[in-house]
Amino acid sequence: MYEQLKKSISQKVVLSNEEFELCKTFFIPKKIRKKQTLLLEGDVCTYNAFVEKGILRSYSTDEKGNENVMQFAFDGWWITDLSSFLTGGNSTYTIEAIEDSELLLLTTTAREALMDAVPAFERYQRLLLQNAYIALQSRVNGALTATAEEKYLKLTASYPEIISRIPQHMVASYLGLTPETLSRVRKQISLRK
Amino acid sequence: MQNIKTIAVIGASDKRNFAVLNELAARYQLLLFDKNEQALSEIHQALLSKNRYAYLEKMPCATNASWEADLIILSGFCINDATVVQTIKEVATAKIIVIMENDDEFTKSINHQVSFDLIFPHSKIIEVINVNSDDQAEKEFLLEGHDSYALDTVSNIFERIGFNTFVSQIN
Repeated sequence: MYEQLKKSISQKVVLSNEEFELCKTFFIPKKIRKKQTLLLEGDVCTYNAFVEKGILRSYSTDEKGNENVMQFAFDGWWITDLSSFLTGGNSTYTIEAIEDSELLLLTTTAREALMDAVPAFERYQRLLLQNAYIALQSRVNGALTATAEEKYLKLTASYPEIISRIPQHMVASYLGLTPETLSRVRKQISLRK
Repeated sequence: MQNIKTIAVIGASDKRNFAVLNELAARYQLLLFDKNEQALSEIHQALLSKNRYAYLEKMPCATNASWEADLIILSGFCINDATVVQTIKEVATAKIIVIMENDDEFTKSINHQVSFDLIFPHSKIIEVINVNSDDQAEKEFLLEGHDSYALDTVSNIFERIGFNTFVSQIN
């Protein structure tokens, strides 16, 4: 139930077994079914969710009802509406399970308490935020400068599992493309092979 | 306030808690478990007949019901069933566990609180004691526990579904 979390933490900081056992007591284990939501747009986001198993996505909905995917989270990833989680304001995103998933949830108070109890966890969180910021910059830059094909190729090279585990229309939304454009891009790439 | 959407009811067939489950069913997703499958089906049907659009599910396993839930209610025989209690222990970490105490002996309830704190050291135990006799229409409950946040959450849920609560924080 905590294998991915242990792996994720130990990739970034050194924790003793005792410290990890203490960490576990702060997390809420939660199973969520496919299409169930962890957070609804407009609600206050009270959890930072670690995905032990499964896939989640966060998305916002525009005035026409179109869903704009902000993030996917696979096994070993974190997902939340960071602004709402840290400030207590209303969330911009809905967080939904794409597959049946097993999560470990950390509330804002539990996160603070855990960082006090295990200082290495604070360093782990800082490194995560640092990496998330770098990834966000890269994504914004890609959205502004890359072609549809470049965006798709970069995504599939970085995260090959996206193709097999995520429906195409969600991938298109994540890349800021229409499903038709993504389909055309995929066809062009396959014809060249 | 903790975000409670899904509640697991372990030992759902205890009819003394029907009024509470009936009100909860109108506002929350309930995952019902009981070792007695027939009694579970009867309660499930009875709740459905009064709450046609409610999300009520009979669960074959106490662990999965508790794993999916944001809050766990232990009632009936399950309170004293060590096997059931052990199966939900790991998935109950950091969650609120509500013990529906239907025994009138106040001192016994305090002993329960102590033993459940030992069994679930990383959960927030709230004991709920019905302070009315069964034939009274208005239900009032005494809530006991250590964690003020959990006490507020459970009190809020009970008040929201139309019951009066008295909160007692144990030091």
